[in-house]
Formats: sequence, C-alpha cells, structure tokens
Amino acid sequence: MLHFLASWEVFFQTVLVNALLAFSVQIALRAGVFSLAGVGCWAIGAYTLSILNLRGVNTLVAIVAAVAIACVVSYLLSLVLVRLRGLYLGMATVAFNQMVGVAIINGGELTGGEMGLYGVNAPVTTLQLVIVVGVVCLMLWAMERGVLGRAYNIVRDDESLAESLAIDTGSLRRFAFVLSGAIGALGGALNAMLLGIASPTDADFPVIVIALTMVIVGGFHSWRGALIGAALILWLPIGIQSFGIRGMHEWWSVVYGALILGIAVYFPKGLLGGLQKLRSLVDRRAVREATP
Amino acid sequence: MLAEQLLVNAAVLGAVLTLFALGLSLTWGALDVLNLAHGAIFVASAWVATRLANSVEVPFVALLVAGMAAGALLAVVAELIAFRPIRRLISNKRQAELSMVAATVGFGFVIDNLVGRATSHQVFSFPIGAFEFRQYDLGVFKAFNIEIIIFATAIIGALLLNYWIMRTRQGMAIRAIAFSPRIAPLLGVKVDNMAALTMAVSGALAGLSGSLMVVWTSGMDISTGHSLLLRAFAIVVLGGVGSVKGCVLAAFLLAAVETGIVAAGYGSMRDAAAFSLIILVLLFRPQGLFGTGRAMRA
Amino acid sequence: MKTTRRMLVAGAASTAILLGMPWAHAQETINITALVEQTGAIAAAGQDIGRGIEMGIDTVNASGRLGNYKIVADVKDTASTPATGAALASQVASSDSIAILGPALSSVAMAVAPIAQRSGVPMIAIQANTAGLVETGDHVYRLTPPFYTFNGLTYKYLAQQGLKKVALSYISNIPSVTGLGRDFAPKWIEANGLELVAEETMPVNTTDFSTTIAKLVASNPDAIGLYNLDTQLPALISGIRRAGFTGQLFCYAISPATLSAVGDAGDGIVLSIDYSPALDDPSSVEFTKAFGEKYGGTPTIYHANGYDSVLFLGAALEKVIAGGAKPDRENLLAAMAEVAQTGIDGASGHLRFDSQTHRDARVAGVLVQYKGGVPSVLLKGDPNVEEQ
Repeated sequence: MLHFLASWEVFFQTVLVNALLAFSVQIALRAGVFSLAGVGCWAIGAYTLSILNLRGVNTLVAIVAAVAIACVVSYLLSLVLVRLRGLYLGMATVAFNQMVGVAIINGGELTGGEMGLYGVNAPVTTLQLVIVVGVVCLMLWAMERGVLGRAYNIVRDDESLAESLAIDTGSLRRFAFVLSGAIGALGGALNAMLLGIASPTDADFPVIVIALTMVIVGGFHSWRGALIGAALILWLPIGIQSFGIRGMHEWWSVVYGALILGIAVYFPKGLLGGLQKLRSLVDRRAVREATP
Repeated sequence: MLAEQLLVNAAVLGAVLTLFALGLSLTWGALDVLNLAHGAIFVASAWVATRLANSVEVPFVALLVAGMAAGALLAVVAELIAFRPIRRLISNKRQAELSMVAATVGFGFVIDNLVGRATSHQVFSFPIGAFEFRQYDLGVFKAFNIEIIIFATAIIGALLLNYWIMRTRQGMAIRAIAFSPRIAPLLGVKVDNMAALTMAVSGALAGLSGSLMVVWTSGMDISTGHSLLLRAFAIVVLGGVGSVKGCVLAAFLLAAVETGIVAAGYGSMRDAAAFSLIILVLLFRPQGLFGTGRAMRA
Repeated sequence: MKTTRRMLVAGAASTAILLGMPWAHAQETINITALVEQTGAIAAAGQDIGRGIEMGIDTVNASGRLGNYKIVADVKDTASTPATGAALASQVASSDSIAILGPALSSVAMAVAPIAQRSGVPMIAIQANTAGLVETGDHVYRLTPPFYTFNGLTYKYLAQQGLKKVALSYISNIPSVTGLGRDFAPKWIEANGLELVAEETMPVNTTDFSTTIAKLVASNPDAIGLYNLDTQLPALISGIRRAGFTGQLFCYAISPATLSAVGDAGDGIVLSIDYSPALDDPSSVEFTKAFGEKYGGTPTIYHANGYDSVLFLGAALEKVIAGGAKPDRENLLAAMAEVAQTGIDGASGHLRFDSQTHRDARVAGVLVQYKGGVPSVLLKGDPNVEEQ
C-alpha cells in the first residue's frame, strides 16, 4: 500500500498544483467572465518565484510577492478589458497570455530567455500542497454559497438582470478577474517549486488549451468539477498507457482526444454533472423502491 | 528590388491566411463555433492531397480538389459527431459555446495524432514533379507561378464566398441562422442542413489553403496548423466576425505587418504582431473593422 | 473414481505451478524504463529514439554478454510534457526498474533529472541538449554530445573551401539551437577567418519564411546556414534555391523525409553530425548494416543515439554481472562511472565522456555532405579534442 502511495506521490502533487490552474479558469467562467488570463498569471507566478528564489529571497515572501504582482496585473487588465464579453474577452486574455510569453523570452538574463530558469531550490511537501489547495477550495466553496454565490449566478446568466437588481456587477467581475489571477499565480509559483524550473512554455497556447479542457471536462459550475478535470486530464496520458495491450498504448493520444470529445458532447456539465446525475438517478430509484 | 519582393511575399502570405481565416470566420459567425480543430483539418487535408499525389499521377487541379474534399468531409464529421449533438442537448448558449470549443480540442487532437502516426511525425510533401515551378518576370517584381495561383485563388475564393453568402438563398439562410438560431427555423430554415453545409465550405477552404501551402513550402508537418490558427483568430477579430471583406483586409494587413517586422530584423518577435493586433482591436474597436456590431453580446 | 480425478487435477495443478515458477526459466530479467517523447513536439525524434533503444536491447540481449540476464524495457510516452515525464519518473523510482533511458526533450529531462537523482535511479538522457543537465547529480548521464561540441567542423570546412561570407538563420527559442546560432557561430566564424553578413531569427513555430529567405539571399553570401528544425527546412531550402542562390548550404540536422521533399535543391548541403550512415568506424558500419537488415532503410541520428545509450548501459551491466554482483541501481551506477573512463564503441564511433563531469558524451564528429539523398564524409573531427 505504501509502495503504491509512494509511486503516485509526484502525480498527486502535480494534480494539486494543476488544480489551481483549473480553479483560476473555473472561477472566472463561473462568474460569467470568459477570462483565461489565469494562465498568463501562472507564468508570472512561476517566474516571480523563481527569480526571487534564485536571489535568496525567503520562499514564503516570494510566494506572496508572486500572488501580489498577479493581483495588480489582473486588476489593471480587468479595467482595460471592462467592455468585452464572451469569446472576445477570451481572445483578449489569450492575447495577454501570449504577450507574457513574449516578455519572458525577451527578458534576457532576468528570465533566462528561451531557456527559462532552473535550479530553483524551494522544496514543498505534499502536506503543504494539500493544505494550500484545501484552503483555496474552502474559499471557493464559500463563494459558491449564500448571497455571494447567488449573485455570481445571476451575473453569469444574465448581466442586465443582475444590474437591475442593484448588484454591483462591475465589482464582482473585477473581483473574479483578480481572484483568477491570484490563484493562477499561486499555482504557477508552486509548480516552479515542484519542478525546480520555470520555462517560457508556461505561457504557451497548449497550456491555455489544457486549462480550458480541464475545466470543461470536469464541469465548470463548481470547483469540484475543476478538481476532477485536472486529475483526469493529467491522469489520462499515464493511465491509458498502462492499460496498454501491447501496441495499443501507442494510440493513447487518439483515445485521449476521443475521450475529451465524448465528454464535451455528452456531459455538458462535465464529469461532475454526470456524477450528480448518476446520484440523482440512484436517489430517485431509492425513493421509488421505498414507496410501496 | 528587395522591397518589391517583400510585397510579393506579403501578398502570398496574406492570400494563404485569407483562405484559412475565411473558413474560421464562417463557422464563428454563422454557427458560434470557435473551431480549434481548423488547423488540424488544414494539415490533414494537405496530407490527403500529398498521399494522392504520391500514389497516382493526376493533374494539379485534381490534387487541390482532393484536398478540398478531404477538408469538407472532416468538417462535416465534426458537425455530425460534435456540434449537432451539442445543439440538441445543450440549450444554454454560453455553455454550448464552451462545450463546442472543448469538443473541437478533442477532435483536433484525434486528427493531429492520426495524421502524425501516418507520417511518423515527419514532414510530408508532394513528390518532386507533381508541380512545376516557373518564375515570371513581371517588370517590377518576379513571381513564381504558385505564388500567382495562390493569390488569384484567394481573391476569387473570397469573391465567390461573398457572393454565396450575400446573393444566394443558402447564404440568406446562413445569415438568418447567424442573426438568430432560434428564429431561423421559424422562417423555414433547416438549421441542421445549413450547419453541415457551412462546415463543409469551411473545411473545403481549410483544405484548399492547406494543399496550396504544402506546395509553396515544399512540405509541411502537423505543427503548421497550430501556428496558423492563432493568426487566424487575430484576423477574424480584426476584420470582424462574419465579414468576408474584413477578413480579407485583415489577413493582408497582418501579413504586411509580419513581413515588415521580419524585414526590419525583429524576426523573433513576429508572433507578437498577431496578438498585439488582437489587443489593440479589442480595446478600441471590438467589432473589428467591418463587424456586424454583434460583437459584444452580453 | 473420485480419487483418480482428484489425483489428476492435483497432478495438473502442480505441473502448472512448477512450470510457472521462476526457477524453471533459464533467464533472469533486468528491468529498465525508457521515457520517450512518442507524441508531442518532438515526436519524430522520439519515435526514432524508441526504435533505436529497441534495437540496442535486442542486440545486447542476443550478444550473450549479460550471461543469464536479459534486459526488458518498459517504454513510456512522456508526451513531450515535463509534468507527465516527472510523474512517470517518480513511478519508476518505486518500481523495480534499475535505470531510466531518456528523456530527449530538454525541458522534460530537466524535470526528470532531479527525481532520478534523489531516488537513486541512474539516468541516461538522450539528446536533451540543454546546459545544466548532467550537473544535476552523479546519477545523470547524457549519451548525446551537445551540438556545440562538434558543429565547429562546418566552419573549418567552409574556410577550407575558400568561402568567406556566411548568412545565418536560426531558431530564437530553443536553447541548444539558439545557442549555436547566437553564441557559438560568431566565435567559429571569427576563428576561421569568415565573415557574418546576415543574421535572421524566428520562433520555432514559424511556417512562413519568404521574407527571411529574401533577406538571406539579398546579403549575397557564399554560404547560408540553417539552424532550423527539420520540419522548417523544406520551405527554407527550396525557397532559397528558387530565389536563385547557388552557393553552399549547411544545417545542424536533416531527415530523409526532408531530403526527398526538396530533391535537387538539397544537393550539396553539409552538416556536422555525431552519427551518419557514412561513418566508416567499424562499430558504426556494423550498426548501420544491422539496422538496414532489421528494419530496412537507413538510420537517423536519433536511432543511433537510442542504440548507443543501450550499448553504454549494456557495457556497464556486463561489468556488474562479470564481477558477480547483483544488477541493482547502486552497482549499475558504479559500473557506469567505470565504463565512462574508457568510453564505448557504438553507432557514433568511439564515444567518450567529458573531462569535467565525466558524464557528458563526446565524439570526434564528422562533416557529411548529401548528394542525391546519400551522405558522404568530407571531414573528420579530431578525437583528441573535446570541442571541434
């Protein structure tokens, strides 16, 4: 049993850290803000932490700095992009992410250019990761409930209605933007600590696609969906390969794509939605059987 | 001398981008589908054309037609297995959008890896001799026959597409769907059929640009599609979703800007052109140059 | 009646058990794991490396040098992703695998190396040209000499041919290749009395080169260097020839697929390389021939690198087994360090290790020229020098 746990520890840590990436996208989508800027902030977080760590700054201070910088950047971004909605907002945030990538590559000595930074020495334990991610989950859970939760639901589904109800949509949207950036940066910083490197590909288009896929596949209505999505997307490459009947596992990438396609089409609320539906089916059956 | 040559380069690049981006703009404008598999369809169609060329000797036009057919087929498959079920099952518009994006990611992944397996992730190309290169001296600059073909094809293609959308009944039906997917059926529009047709045309455009490009660059591999996709987004945003005129202008504008950046010696920053444009446009004119004004739908 | 049946069943069962027991088999297995980029950004190279590893294992097992043992490799796809590679590596750490072969992509290798180091698993990286890899620790080896250790040969050749003006194109965002173009090429150009007349850079995902080509050709060079990905070469080579350039072309890597795609346009292109089918070292010739017999066609440098990594592993294992010790991680590591002192003879000829870390491979290297898709050796590197 311990053997099994040990071999999956790095994977578990990777899921925790990438869950933060998924959360950053989910929290924005949930508020109706189609922002993928969390990915750019992931890169900002990774580099800030690495740059500071390589100069001997205390790890905790470095993490706080990474998150703080991302908050400021996200806030400014939210002001600049205030008039955009939907896919257009999404495109703008993708463009922002790409600009972060360009800045990183042309950052010379500071960012290590195209090679990135390596040798980051800030080890983190699984327990610490569980605590951090747990706190974030708690925060997201709290935001999904009560007045705030309902307010966000309305803002997401019908913005003009929300405004007519005297809900400060502007503040809520900005807050979602900033929180998305903060969580993304936290994830990026932890990722740099985990891998010991920060690389320019942290802001690349494939990362954006992965983050979006995690959230949609898992279910973007709740943080639980993002967590499931992160675990699944990270597990699939390894999992499909170990199911490999000899020769079959070479096709893992095709199976991976097909699975994502299938889930996107038939599980619109993601796997989380599917699980909830399953549970309600079971409940209903229990009720039916209970009544004579 | 160099400046004129750069003009030719920009023109050909713009032409390839035009054909590719028109396909993307069509599905985005008409069906609200952000087709992230468009690049994969582009590459797969080009590959089909090269396979044909390597097996039998056919005239060059037949190869282009084969590419277009392959692209159309793949796009229709996407419509049947992904977009149509999503339209049926999901009523919330925003959710449907997101699901379709994710579906195209999966679909694109499948196609990319199938083609990758078939090519061992190597470069694939037409056999030498499938196309004879000839250079023409047009006084001010020199151009190759393929470059002239690409440019002409793009212009003609754009004109035909514009005519089709603006002047035919089918085009009217598509514009009705673009305006309101809910009201269109009430007007007698068969949404499913139109959606399939739109996807087919979009796929054919991808296939056409792919087949032309694989000749122009003497070979291509599956990564080519990804780089084009991002620039296509910039073009569609800049030109205005659903506007053929806008798309064409934006494509040539982007090509000109990129060519200028490389010519000035900042080759490593060429990607920045596309997304800087995106941000600028979205900040100051979100509906693009010729957008229909539906840009900011809340 | 019942008793007879029972006895039959018991007899059958015990026979089955006896046959299944380990000591009934003549051979013992040595388990290793190969982390290969079979999909993703460098899938083309990764696939070839995997095949080279497969061939190397078959060769070593068939040679009998390992006595009663045979190597069994578990091949896993890293998907060219550091996170996946790292997760796979940590699984290796708690398995009975005694070595990791690969990865090839630098970023993945850099993520795997610390894990291999701290879990005590010897790691033999292939390709992975980045700086700082073997410096991670004494468990990390690299079997492919970094590009900069042999690409200087090209410039010696250019000077020998009496050429003077060099135009250079290189990728701006792959560390090893960018380094070649930006840091090393100017050094070599100066050292050989050449002149750099044009320098064009582009990111790795560039697909349109018309402007780059125009500028390179307009600088009127004697030679044009293309430090670009193999998949970018068809557009570059054919475009440069169509623009009217008839001079010397050189690059750092080229595949048979690209050569057939460009046809005549690629004739005469030269490159400095660690392995080529044209190498005449006995061990190289043996490899090239055996590859042709087994798989048909000619091998690429990736096949050769994968093969050599297994040869190195095999040589170390041979030492362990010959010394009567058990093939486990510690003994293997010690043997690897010993073998590294003398080096091995493999597909790339004589492979030795650097004088600083003793874990980074070095070869003499060759300059080859392609004509009609067939390479021939024009210049050989100096085996007594670490950097050509």
